[in-house]
Amino acid sequence: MALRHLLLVIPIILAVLIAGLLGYTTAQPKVASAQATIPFGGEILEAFWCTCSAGIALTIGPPVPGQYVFQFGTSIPYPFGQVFRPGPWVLGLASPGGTCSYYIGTGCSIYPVMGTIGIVGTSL
Amino acid sequence: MLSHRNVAVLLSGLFFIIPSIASAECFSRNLSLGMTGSDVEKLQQMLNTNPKSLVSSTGIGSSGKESPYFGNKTRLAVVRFQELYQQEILEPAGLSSGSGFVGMLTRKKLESLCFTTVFPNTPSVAPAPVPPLPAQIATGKAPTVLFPSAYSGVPGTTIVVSGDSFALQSSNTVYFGPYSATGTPRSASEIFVKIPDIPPGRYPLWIENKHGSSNKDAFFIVRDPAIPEPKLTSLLPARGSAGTPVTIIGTGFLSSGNELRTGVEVIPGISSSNNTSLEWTPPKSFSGGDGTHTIPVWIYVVNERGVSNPLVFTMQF
Repeated sequence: MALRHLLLVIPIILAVLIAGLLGYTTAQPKVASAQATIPFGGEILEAFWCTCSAGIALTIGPPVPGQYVFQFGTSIPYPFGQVFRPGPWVLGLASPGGTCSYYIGTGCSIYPVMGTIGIVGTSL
Repeated sequence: MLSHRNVAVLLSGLFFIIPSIASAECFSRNLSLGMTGSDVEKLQQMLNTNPKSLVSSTGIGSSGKESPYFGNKTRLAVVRFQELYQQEILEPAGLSSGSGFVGMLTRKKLESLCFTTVFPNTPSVAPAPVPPLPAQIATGKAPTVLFPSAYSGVPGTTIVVSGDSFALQSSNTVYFGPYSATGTPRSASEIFVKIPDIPPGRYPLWIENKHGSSNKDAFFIVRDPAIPEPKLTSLLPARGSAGTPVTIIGTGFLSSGNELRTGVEVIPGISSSNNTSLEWTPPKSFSGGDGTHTIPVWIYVVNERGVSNPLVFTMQF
């Protein structure tokens, strides 16, 4: 009787452990992907407001150009914090992925970006 | 080219330590005389970013030569730091003078500076070492100026200019309008320059080397050391949506000719009727959200006296 009971309980325990492990491992990549790995640096040529996805897409010119989203609550501005307008020069790191979507009247449309800004320092 | 490592090192050198940001904590323990550790070295680096709290001007403990030992010079610098932020560190603890002990209130202030790097006066900065980028020598591109480490200072102050394609094996001339100084490159993306002994004023800043001239949209204000820079003390309100009138309160504003530099727009030629307040309304073009999101809009006031500390207006959109 005890053995039968054990045989019933063990799969449940294993299922809980596996589910926990799966939850852990699937959560981990989010942390890893948040690590900024793409350097960028240049003048902000355009600051596009992502009205559906709480961010601003920055189009950055040479010498190391790109199009990255400054995600509110995630991206960290450094001095001099001049991130949301064209003109300042920026230097920073981004991570792959992320999105910028904006309201078009009947729904949201996607504005393409190359990644999400992790940290960014700016000119004044 | 700017590499991942160089961006990280540049940012960490200019604006402090990236691992600290990642760990969301710069100082995890109290610090006092006799202690050692990397956090002591970090403490010294932070103290050295402000001329008023230098650990030492030369030798061990000076900028670029910080050590992991909390000695008497560190203690005295902490005292000066605490007295610099008397209202936030000393008064809540009922103290009238600095103690040199880095406890909860001092750590709290250091943490805030660690994330925002807001010091009352723009400092001279010694970035972390950056290895040379030999590839740049062959590219032959004209230099690019991204930004200086400080936008104001007195003659003799050393600043670091971040950018790209600085010459490593030939000279770089750093121009302050009609005046110039020789820059010392630490790498192809970082150059040190001592502010020459020139009259106070606002000058365009750019760099020239044998490959050409950089962009000329950066500026630098050479200060008169006898006249304090503008200082921001509060924003009323500190939070609101686009279109909300904001009163910027502080000192050192001019009756005319103040420039407001914010994260969303630059407004030159602003007047102040009382030299202690300015009015600004965040532009309505920055609306369109559902009102549930906020962005940090950094605000500076610039005039011929110098550059203020920043304050942050939290804009809802």
